[in-house]
Amino acid sequence: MTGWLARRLAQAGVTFALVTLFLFVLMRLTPGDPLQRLGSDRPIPALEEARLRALFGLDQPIATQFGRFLESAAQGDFGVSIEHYPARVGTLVASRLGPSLLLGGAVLAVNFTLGVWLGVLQARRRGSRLDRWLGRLALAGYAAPTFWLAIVLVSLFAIEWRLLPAAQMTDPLLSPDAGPVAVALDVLRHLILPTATLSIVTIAATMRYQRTAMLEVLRLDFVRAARARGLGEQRVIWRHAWRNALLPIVTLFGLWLPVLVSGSVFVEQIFNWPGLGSLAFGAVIARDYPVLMATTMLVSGAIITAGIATDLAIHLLDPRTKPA
Amino acid sequence: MGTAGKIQRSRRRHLRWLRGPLALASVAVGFATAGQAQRKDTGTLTIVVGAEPNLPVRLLAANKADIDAASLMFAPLAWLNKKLMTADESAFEPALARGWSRRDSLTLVFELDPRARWHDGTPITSRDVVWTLNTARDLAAFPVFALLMREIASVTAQGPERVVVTFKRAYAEQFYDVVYHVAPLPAHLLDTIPAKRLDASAFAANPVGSGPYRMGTREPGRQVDFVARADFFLGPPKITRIVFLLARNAEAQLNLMLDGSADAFESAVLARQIAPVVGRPNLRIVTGPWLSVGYLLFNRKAYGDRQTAHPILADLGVRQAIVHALDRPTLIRSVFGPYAAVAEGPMGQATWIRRVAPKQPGFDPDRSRRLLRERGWLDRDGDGIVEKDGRPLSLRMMYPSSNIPRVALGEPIQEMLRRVGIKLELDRLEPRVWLQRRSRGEFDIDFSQVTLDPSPTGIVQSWTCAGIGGSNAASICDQSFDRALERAIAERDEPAPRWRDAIAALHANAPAAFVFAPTQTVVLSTRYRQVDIRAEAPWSHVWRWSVDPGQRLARDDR
Amino acid sequence: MTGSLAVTLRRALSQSDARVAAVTLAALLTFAVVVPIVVPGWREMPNLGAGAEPPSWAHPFGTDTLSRDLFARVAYGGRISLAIAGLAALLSLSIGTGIGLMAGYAGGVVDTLLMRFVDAALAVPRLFILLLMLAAWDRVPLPAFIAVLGLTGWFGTSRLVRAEVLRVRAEPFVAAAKNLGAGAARTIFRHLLPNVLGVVLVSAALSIGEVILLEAGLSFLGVGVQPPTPSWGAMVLDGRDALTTTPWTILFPGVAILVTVLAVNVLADALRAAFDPRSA
Repeated sequence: MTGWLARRLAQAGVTFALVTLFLFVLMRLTPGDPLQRLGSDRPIPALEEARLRALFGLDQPIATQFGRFLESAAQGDFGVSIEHYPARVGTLVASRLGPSLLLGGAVLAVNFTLGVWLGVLQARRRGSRLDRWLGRLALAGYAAPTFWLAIVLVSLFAIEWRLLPAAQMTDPLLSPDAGPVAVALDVLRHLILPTATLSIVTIAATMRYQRTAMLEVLRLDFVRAARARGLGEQRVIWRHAWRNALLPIVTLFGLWLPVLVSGSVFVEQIFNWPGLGSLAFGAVIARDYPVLMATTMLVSGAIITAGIATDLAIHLLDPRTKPA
Repeated sequence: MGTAGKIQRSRRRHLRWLRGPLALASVAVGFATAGQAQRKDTGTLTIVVGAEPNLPVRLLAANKADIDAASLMFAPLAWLNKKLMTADESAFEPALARGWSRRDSLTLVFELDPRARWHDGTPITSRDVVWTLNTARDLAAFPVFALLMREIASVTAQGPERVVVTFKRAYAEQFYDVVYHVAPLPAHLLDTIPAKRLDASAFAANPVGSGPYRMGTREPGRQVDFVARADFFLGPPKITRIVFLLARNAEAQLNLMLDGSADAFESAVLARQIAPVVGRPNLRIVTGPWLSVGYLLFNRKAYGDRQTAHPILADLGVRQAIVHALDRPTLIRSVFGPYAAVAEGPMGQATWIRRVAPKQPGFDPDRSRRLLRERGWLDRDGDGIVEKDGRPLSLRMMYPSSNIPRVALGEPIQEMLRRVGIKLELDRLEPRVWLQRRSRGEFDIDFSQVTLDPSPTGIVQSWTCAGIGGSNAASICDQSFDRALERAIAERDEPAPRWRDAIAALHANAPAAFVFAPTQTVVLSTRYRQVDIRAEAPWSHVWRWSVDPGQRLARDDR
Repeated sequence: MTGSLAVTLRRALSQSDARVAAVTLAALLTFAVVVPIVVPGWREMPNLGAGAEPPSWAHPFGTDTLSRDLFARVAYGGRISLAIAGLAALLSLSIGTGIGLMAGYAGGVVDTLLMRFVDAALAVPRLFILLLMLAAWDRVPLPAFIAVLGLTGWFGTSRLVRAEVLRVRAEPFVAAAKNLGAGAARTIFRHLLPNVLGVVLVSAALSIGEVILLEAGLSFLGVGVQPPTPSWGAMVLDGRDALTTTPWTILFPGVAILVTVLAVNVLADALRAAFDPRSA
């Protein structure tokens, strides 16, 4: 077990190093100069440009830049943003992390409660009209372009019916004296539409996995035995069958992260959610190398970690499986 | 910035004990003033902005949000009047300077208003003005500003309230150059910081200004608050709190207005974008002349090669043919609706010389085809595209994918040129790539859009031989125009006819096809009164606004 | 195995949903191929300045703000979108299958190296790689766009194929074949490839759907197919602020995307069920 974990961690380390190098090189190969500023008729004078280039270390050869980057990144310092100058990258990322985790967590929560419940429901009524329609509906959601769905939901729920706020994470004029309950309720109201959008386009996978896993388990002897013992149906399903069908669902956790990151780029744009996705996307467009490196490394690190965690969870839940 | 944030946070924590008593007190005051509450005309203003103000000081500003934020926190010596008449010093409105006079054609004298105070309570004196103007003219630290103010010879103080500025030569916009580009900064806080370090200082992130608002709390990536100061020397603002709400995405920006979260949003917009706002009961659209212009810039030099003449566009006839091929009124109607005018030169709708300048030649497809024919461009193979010496007339036009008006205009322009036999390929580029290509001259036609300074003299940088290597990306160099422009800039008594001649000379050379001059379009809540929106800095006069007592909202008390 | 493949396909199509999906896809394909030949005016602006017109007999899908016929544009855009999706999926599958087979069959160092690379590639969100890679062109030529989509889409497939190869390789008939002296090529093509075809087919259907959505998303972000060529994604982008005022400009391309991706995914589902009947 420890041996396996050590090997897995070493692998992850190699992967992460590869990712870092790959990203750094790809970024510098991409055309576009971060120092060019938009919205101004006047180009930066040569003198000013030279100063800025030196300030961000862009006047050095790429190998030197990479070395310096690694050196300071190892100390937890990702430098200064070019686009948001003089803000530090660490501060920027930290301020966006909370909202990102909140949105991602909310989507996961919906997927793993509603999605799991619907999947179990489908498995119990296998082949029924309910099963088929739930499957079709979930697939239709999966087929919708995220941004298109977001635009439609905002138009209806926020603009036409005025039920929910159209964008933002908080009310901009919320009183600073508002208690924690009022703040939480305010955030919750703003959280509903973006969570709904991302859940609709992702929930199909959870339902599918849960349904398949449940079907396999329901066939097994111990479930039949439990039924034969006269246990209530709810108890059989949730206490006996579902616990054993949990495993495939856990593997989904690791798969979700990249999907949520990409999806949230669109959702954060339209809902003006102050998360990492929009920060990273803005950094791609602005060629803000320091911010881009920090955000992509963070996301990649999270994905790699989630992979290990998933393997570990599988191993702990079902010691018979030997992790590959 | 990190430390500044920490200080702010800890300050808030210190004040927490005050909350209870303050709440009680405000309830008491509420009872006492309940009778008057009906007629209250104070309130808050939430403005949607597209970028975050990081350096809200004119001297350091990197984007429009910086400039807009600076206009709230800093008062200039004098404000431009609404007509943006830059060449007439009697047309300015007093601000930190209560008056000014002219000693001779090379000397201006400013008298400061003794009531004016910095946010920290220190009086604003001539020392601040002298320090600011001299710092801005430091070529090593602020090359852009040093260039703009290159004609200033000296700035000296005479006592605490008088500043004397002398110039190297006589010209019409001396006064404008002193008051417009920078607003005075507090020398008593800054003169120990080297000019080059200003942008990284705590002051830059949270400045002490002279204007009606000071910076309040700040949520990076989300919003910045500005709080009115009751001791503003021109009277306490009725809009007591302004929030800059950050939204980068065009949908989100408009949605925040439509769902009532925000009160104001300034943008150049297409008809189809603004359509959802029309007819909303709580919103109105305030329009006015603006300082932006969009045009097809013809590169005189070959693609990416500044030594060789452009094989097609160096020919005046072809450039004129393109100008005549564009049906600009139809273009603007189909894309902007009523929210733009046809551009008649390198001027926005608000540039004062637009009122006197001659028009650019109009839509005339027959003339366009004839011009091409005369130059030997004929469609011999019948594919609809003209060619000469076996080469088709094919050009590439680039524009940034982030700019919605230009993206929307690209295809109809392509279609209009196709109708006269010109093949136009569209390069919709990522913004940073577009800028890079522009600065390297890697384009045939650049679909440019620029926001101009109120002064027409900015034309020098982009359209004359002197600007080559700088803003003049297309290597335009027409001596006849340069001479006419020089005369216009120098003329002090009657500049209008001179400017008319200069623009006529510009059109004669067809350096560009001027397409659209957007209208300043502000989507605004209907509850504001005494609204005063400026073309160059829309929110600089919010301190004069008030709220209609009948339409006040709960959030106006926050 | 090829015989059983046909059987499996027939089994997949015996589901009513799958039949509906297959018919829908065929209809969409026909629409995208035939209509642009019959109604060629996808780029003509006969009435510039008149604004968008709602659907009518002359224009069944209405016109956009530049007076272009949306029926012709949706059809031509479908041709582009479907061609991109089909070719990109084909490319990513070929690479993914090849790499997966190689890693699974060779094992050892080759396997380790390839899988570490795949791990690294999967750890970066595809959208970011695409945005950075596509910026390398001023105007992305269609073949390059397809190539980039294909080159960034094979990582997941290669992993699935490798896992399948490892499973099949352990089965007695492969070992038996090896003992009988079958060469590498013979083992791969006769025994491994046919057995991983199921995974590949399902993966193909899913990746077509994914690429269509990705193309639309990239268009929304301003990257991708260059004007004046219409694609469904680019058309949704053009009409995105018109949902409440001229809804037909965004509705038809949006629905086209949704229906196509849905049909493709239903087919993928049916295929998966046919290959692994227990999950149905």
